[in-house]
Amino acid sequence: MKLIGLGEDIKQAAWDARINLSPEEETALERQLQNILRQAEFLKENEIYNAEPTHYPYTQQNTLREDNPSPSLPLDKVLENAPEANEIYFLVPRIVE
Amino acid sequence: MDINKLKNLNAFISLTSAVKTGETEPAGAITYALADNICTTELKTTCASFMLKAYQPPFGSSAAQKLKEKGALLVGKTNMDEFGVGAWGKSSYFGAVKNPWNEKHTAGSGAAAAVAGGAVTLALATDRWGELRQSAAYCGVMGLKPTYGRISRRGLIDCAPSLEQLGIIARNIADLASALETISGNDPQDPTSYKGDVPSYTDQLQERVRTIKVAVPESWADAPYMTKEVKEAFANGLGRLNKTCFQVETVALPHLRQSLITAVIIGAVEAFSNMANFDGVRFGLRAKGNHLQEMYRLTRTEGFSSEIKQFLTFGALISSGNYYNDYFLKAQKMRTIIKKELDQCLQQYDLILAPTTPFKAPLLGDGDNVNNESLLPDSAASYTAAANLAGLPAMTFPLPSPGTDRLPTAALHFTAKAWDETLLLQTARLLENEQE
Repeated sequence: MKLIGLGEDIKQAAWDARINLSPEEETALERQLQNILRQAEFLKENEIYNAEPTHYPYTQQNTLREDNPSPSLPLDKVLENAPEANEIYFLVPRIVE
Repeated sequence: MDINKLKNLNAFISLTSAVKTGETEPAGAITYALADNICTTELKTTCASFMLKAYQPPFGSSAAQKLKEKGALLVGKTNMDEFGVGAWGKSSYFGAVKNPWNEKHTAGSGAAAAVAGGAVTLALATDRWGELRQSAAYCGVMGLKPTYGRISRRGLIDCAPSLEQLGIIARNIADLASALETISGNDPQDPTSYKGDVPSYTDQLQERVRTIKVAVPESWADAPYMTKEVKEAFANGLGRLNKTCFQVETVALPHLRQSLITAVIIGAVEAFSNMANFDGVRFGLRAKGNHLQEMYRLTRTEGFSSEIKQFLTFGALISSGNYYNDYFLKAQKMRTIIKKELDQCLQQYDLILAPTTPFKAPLLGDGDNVNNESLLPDSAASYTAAANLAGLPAMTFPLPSPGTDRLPTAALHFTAKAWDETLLLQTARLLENEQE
């Protein structure tokens, strides 16, 4: 069974992920998605409806650390890896397109 | 240590200055390597990606810091698939890692190749749906993924935080137990780390073990791309288990075969969210754009490999519209069912045993002979993904290779109850003693 509209959904998803896919990559991904969504048909079985979702394998309660103040990373360390920065800020291109 | 003999394997991305200058480590020193998505302030951390090829972490991994405090010597950062997604050797910016037993085959990861090749005593690497255990099996060494929370995840550049953990690769069980004892324990800077006590694994290795009840899934031979030689090797391995130590029974685990797709769906959605910060603003590559949105898009398009771009797009798709309810939410529900099934099995049995991978290390450049596509789904993870979904400890133990080239054929994959790494280590010690 070929899923209708998957190609358009892939274009939108690539946009959401802030990624440009080449036509060849879109075609390859569509082929893979047809395959994986076909294999995921078991997710439509009734037994799943009543199960609670698991987000993390073990949820611990009260995992807050001790409420002791501690220093943040030094500013120069934080900015060290920035592609572009001044002394106190990350610099980015203009926001208006 | 002779790092030079591993150069042609492409196992390392970077080496510490002591290794580069040829300094000899003190006699008896423990040497280790870190997969290149585990941060250290001593070396760059690239995640084997063009996106981070010059990234110098401002802080290091808690686990690596504990090894350092114990006197272990860092040798270098090891190669892997980009961001650790997969164990195929296809997507690293630095090229594929060759298997030390046969260079025509992938090693799965530089961490496993470095340990198998004798460059280090042990390596820390990450395991999302089994990459650490698969690559250890491909290279004929031991690999342990402990219970989720046993080892701090601070300093790990992960992409699927609910699945992904640090684990250990080693050639012998004594080194593995010692390393686990050293790096386990609560870390206030990792809210997912476990607050319970850490057992003395090295002492417990010596304890006498009662007969171990082992459950083998009745569907163990049904994984996609399962090869005849792995079937035979695993069946022989089962037959050789010492009857006085192991009581083996076949059990039905009907949802085990659904764990791979379930993990891939969950992992892709988490990666789409978790890797949104690779946008060229605070670290890593930045592409030139006329405005902010264009800069984001061009940075991610140029910085990621084709495989990662498709993986993240898949995650974005499953996060959206009807796909979210139809696939992601249901995958999380299936995760509950799989976890419950494994937990119930482990109330009756001590361990679950299956092959680690359905095939031996794939040929480099010819992965299509066992899997037509690269990432989705990764059939190598057919037996390993369930432990990540359930957060259970799991370990791979190599079987003797019958082949003339000594390329490992198959390995035993054990899964234990949560927090019972001790039994995995004791089991491996029994098997190690039998092989000696």
